[in-house]
Amino acid sequence: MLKRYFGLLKKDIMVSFRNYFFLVVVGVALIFVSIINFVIPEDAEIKPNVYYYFEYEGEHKDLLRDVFKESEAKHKKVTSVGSREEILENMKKNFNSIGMVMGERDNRPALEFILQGYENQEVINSLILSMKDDIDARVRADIEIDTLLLKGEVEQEKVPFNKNVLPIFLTLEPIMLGFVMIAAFIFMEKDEETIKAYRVSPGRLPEYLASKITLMVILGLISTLISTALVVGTKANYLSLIVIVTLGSIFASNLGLIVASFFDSISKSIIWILSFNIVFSVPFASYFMPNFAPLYIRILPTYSLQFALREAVFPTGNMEVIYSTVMTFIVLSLISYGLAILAYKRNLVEN
Amino acid sequence: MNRIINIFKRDISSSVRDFLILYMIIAPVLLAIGLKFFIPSATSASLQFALDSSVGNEVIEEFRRYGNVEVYSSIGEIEDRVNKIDDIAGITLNDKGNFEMVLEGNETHDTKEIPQKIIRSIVGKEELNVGYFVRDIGIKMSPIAWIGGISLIITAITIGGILIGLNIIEEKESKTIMALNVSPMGKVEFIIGKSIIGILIPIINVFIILWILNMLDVNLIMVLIMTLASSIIGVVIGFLIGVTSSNQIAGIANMKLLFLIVGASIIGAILLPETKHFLLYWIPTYWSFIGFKGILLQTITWGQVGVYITWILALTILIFLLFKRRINKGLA
Repeated sequence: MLKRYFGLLKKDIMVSFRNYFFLVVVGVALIFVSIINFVIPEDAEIKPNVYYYFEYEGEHKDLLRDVFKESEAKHKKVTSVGSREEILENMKKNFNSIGMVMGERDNRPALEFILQGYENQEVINSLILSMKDDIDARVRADIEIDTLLLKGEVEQEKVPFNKNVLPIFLTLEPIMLGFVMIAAFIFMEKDEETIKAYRVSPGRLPEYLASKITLMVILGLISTLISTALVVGTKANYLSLIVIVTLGSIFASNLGLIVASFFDSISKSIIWILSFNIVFSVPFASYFMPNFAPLYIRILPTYSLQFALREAVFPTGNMEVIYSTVMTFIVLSLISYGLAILAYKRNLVEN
Repeated sequence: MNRIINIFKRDISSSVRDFLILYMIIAPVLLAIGLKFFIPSATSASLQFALDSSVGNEVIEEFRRYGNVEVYSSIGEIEDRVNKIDDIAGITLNDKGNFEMVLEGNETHDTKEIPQKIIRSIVGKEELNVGYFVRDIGIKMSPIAWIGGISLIITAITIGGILIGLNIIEEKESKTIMALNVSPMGKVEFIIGKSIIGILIPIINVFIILWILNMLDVNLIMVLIMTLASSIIGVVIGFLIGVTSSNQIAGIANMKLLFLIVGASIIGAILLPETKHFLLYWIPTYWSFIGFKGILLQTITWGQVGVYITWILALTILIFLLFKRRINKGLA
């Protein structure tokens, strides 16, 4: 059985090598590395730009100006501008921005927030609260609030924005690669009638599928190691990374096999494979906005996967997320492999 | 002309028989429906708080003004919730009856800071007499809505091209293309005949997507023109994939590269500052993206539409000319 499996694997590796697939995988990884290292800005942020204009001249001028100056020093996206019009001009050019005007109304200081219009009430309340707290802190005694940290303090935001994109790439490319590619292998062999030849050989279906899945894992690991080494060097936890990518890739390949089994050509299956791919990309929203994690995102397997990959690429000592993801994917891989075998047995009977 | 129509008819009838056209239309529609539900949920995303019921209703209501509140009855339950992957701040009372925050440690700045500010606003007495006012510049469509909508439109257009490509590979593998080569039909007729489906379906898709997302309240002629121009990119790329790929694996490999470039143009246009956008000028879908952005946000002029379409067509023609020999050879 093992001999047959390795024989098939050797053949699959040769076929994909001849079709330049190794080259494409390496090429895509290198392009991504270049984009991460040279194109995406290190200091990019999802947070909005804040343009403020200070026109207040009343008795609290120094106190209030200090609040704004301090905020400008602390947050690089806070910028002082020369007029209200300048705020509006900047806001029209930048959809992810807000404005503030510190002036005077009814003989008291007045802080006017200029928003885009799509912000929700909670965000607006938080903005007001934030500035109010900074201002009131100048006239009240310090209030310390005890904090219980369940794990060590980690400044996740200290990871440069561009490097922080790497786990997204690892989910999208090395892991999801099998989901898209494996169908192409199966349909090509079907069209070239290799499958017919295989069926009259002593080879069995589980070995046939396992060989294809292994090829996807190999391609995925090549892509992972190249991109991770060139983006973070030796800092990553490579053992965890290899385990996560291997399991993720097995699951994604099984899923690709199952989806493809419902169709008889690559053209028909690719529409659904690409559509599923888009659905599996939805949790990337939670990666950049960790407080946004509705149930329909949490149940997608890529949700925990991307955070486990982040932990493996930028280790913080939170192994729990890796262990739980690995356990989940062992179960998912076994179930999906069983389902893939059943799906292809059904296909063989039908054809 | 008859031969072009015949090629188109043949593609249509085989695609209808194979449910391919149905899939091409249904898949983007399903994704648009998904996006329709995703937009309000992502737009209303706010901070999350896990509150101990012992803090009292007044405090719970105060926290609700700033985000989503989950109420738990013990510190153990709060710790379990905080330990989950997403960002949520736990709030409880310590032995002395003072507020205490429970964090995992890896939360983002706002999840760590805003709860402290809320607590200070509850317990703090002194404040400076400042008025706070809010106004907006009238943009009601959230970035998630227009970015999601345009990404889906470009995906639908690209899928049209990819299907042409995969279809050509299948025809090459089944040797139909050899049969067509010995018929009186010219290559240009074949190319035009095959392209029609890749142009018509995206137009249908784009209007359905906009209808589902309630975005039809824009200049529809601009939408039509931008879609037509953009689908020509899809078609040319589709032919390129079809003729340069010797089999389906190579076709999918090329498709991956294509998606990488298309994805880079969209993500680049969103993330890069405008001063760096020139890095994306060579990608035709960049012009589609900023064109559709202007149309959806209703900030575009006809002059800009003209400029963007000129870029799209010029780049597409350039790609076609660069690979003309390859396409000719591939169809031979």
